[in-house]
Amino acid sequence: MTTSQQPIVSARNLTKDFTLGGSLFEKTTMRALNAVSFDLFPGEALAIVGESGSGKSTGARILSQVHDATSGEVTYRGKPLHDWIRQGGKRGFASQVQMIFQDPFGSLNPVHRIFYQIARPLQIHGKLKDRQALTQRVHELLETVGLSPAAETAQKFPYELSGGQRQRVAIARALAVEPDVILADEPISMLDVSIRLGILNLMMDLKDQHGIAFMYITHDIATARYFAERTAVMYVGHMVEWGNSDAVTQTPQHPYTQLLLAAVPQPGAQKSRDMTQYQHKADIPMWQPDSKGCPFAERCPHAREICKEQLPGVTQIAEDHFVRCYLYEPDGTT
Amino acid sequence: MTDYSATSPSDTTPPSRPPRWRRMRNLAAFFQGNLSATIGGGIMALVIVACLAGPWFTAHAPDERVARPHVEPSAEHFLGTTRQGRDVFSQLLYGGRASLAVAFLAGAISTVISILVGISAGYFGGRVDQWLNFVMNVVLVFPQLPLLIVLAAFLGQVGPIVIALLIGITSWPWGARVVRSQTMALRNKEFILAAECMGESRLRIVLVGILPNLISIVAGSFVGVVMYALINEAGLEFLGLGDPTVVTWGTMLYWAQSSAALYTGGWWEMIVPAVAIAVVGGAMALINISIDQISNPKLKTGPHIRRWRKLNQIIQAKRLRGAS
Repeated sequence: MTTSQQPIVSARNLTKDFTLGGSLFEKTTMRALNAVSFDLFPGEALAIVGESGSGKSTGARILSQVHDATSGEVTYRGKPLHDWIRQGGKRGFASQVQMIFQDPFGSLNPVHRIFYQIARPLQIHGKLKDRQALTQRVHELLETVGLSPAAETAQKFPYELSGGQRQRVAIARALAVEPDVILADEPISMLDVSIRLGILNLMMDLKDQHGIAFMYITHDIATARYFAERTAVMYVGHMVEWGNSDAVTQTPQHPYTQLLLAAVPQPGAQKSRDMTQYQHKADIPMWQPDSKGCPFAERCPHAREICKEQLPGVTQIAEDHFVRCYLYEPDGTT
Repeated sequence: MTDYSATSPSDTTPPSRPPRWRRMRNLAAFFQGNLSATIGGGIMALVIVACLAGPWFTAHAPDERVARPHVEPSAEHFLGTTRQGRDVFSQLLYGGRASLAVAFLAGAISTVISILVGISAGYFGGRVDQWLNFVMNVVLVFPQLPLLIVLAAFLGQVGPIVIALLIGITSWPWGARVVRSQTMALRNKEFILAAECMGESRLRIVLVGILPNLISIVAGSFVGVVMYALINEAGLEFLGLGDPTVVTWGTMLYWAQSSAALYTGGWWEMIVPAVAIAVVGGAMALINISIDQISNPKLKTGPHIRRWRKLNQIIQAKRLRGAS
């Protein structure tokens, strides 16, 4: 893989706690991310796979400065995020990292024309001064994401576009500032199945042609393998398995990854796989700072005593394939 | 805003009309498909024009004795005269100026305060929200009309501008609450998050990102306050708390009451300002109902549905005719 390259974004032991309501004197704290570390390389996609509430969006929102990390560090081009903010302000950092949101109907301001939505980032970051160049650039961006005729689209309001078209506008808006990293938070999960591939292919082109690094957040492990070079599987705020996408999806090691893959419907198979061992065993736990053990222990068919006591360490399965499970620890039998 | 010189060759559509023209057309289209807006807007336009152009319609001054007391409506005095022998029609026109000015001024004051307070509370949240919410609740629990009466009585017989100020600064919390809750809902929308990620300034997010989305609510509460102010102003003046030397629809009612117009057969002196207030209030309500459709594009389907229904009716009628 691209181990020779320097990672553009690197997260180390990222932890994020959210304080929930609770009563006046007793506040409940939820740990949305627990000691998460990952690297993102230029021109590469890292897929973060997990179910709802697994903390995958929280990670992206820390990178995009919506949330602050409780502990841990994020570096961008080798420099801590906070240094970037101190030097260039949020606005300066925003020109490097952009986000694409899940809901294409909520991510565009309904009262402004498409032209405005794409021209704004260009104006904020002072990319183009005069009107003519601005118009031309907006139209170029719309053509890039496959929305032509661009001049006509630019004059439309968001409600006049379909979900897929709106997601293309959102991508064009993210592209406008010429970012190095795009955080795509479930960009296709709310689109019709028939247009998902189009959006994925568009992002693939951007990745290959513009060298943009993508953090692709999804719950669909099949598209993760299609789109991303590397995949990390998350469960309740923990990274349970990560590495090369092919390795993770072809030879899944962690029971949760196996569950995710077994859940992908296969054409032709007649309800062949036995999912019962995973189902109805327990609810998804809410992770708290004092929770212990493996988060998946409650649902895991292979769970042992130690799984409920202590978080398993990291085991390297292959050159670029890691798992956090006692099944694979050399002395995991203790 | 639009520059079509940079269109790509693949673009076959001719350049559109200038946007200002388009906006006018949108406005026309809005009235065309919307009966309540047309009626409400029409009445308001008529009333405002009539009041502003008052001197052209009547030769009489509103506060001068021009005839005998309680002359019945005639060609000389369309709406008769008051007990003091003043022309009711010219009082109606000139009084409308003051009444409407008070109503709109109060509406403007109230709307500005409610936008400022509501958006700040909703967008910034936290401690700012707590304090503003506290102030809102305090003003909200004041019983408004009694408070106005007490304030007006305390200040003596107050002129229209003071009444507008009083109504304006006591009637904003309802609007502010609605603006606040809507801002809170918008605040977590992804397009606001996207603007923040983009590095947009907070002021611009509030003014250009959030405020235009609130237009229907703001306009609705503005019209509501205007209506409320019109009625309350009349109420205060009817009770004799306003300055009776200024001609407004409220003082017209006051004079009609104090000169016992109804008992002495001069019903027109009482009915005319009362009907004027009711008609303008009704027109405001009609505008209020239809205002949502200006800023909420999703509601613009109205005429299409109507057209579709009409088509359905025609088809059904044809089918019936074919069957019989």
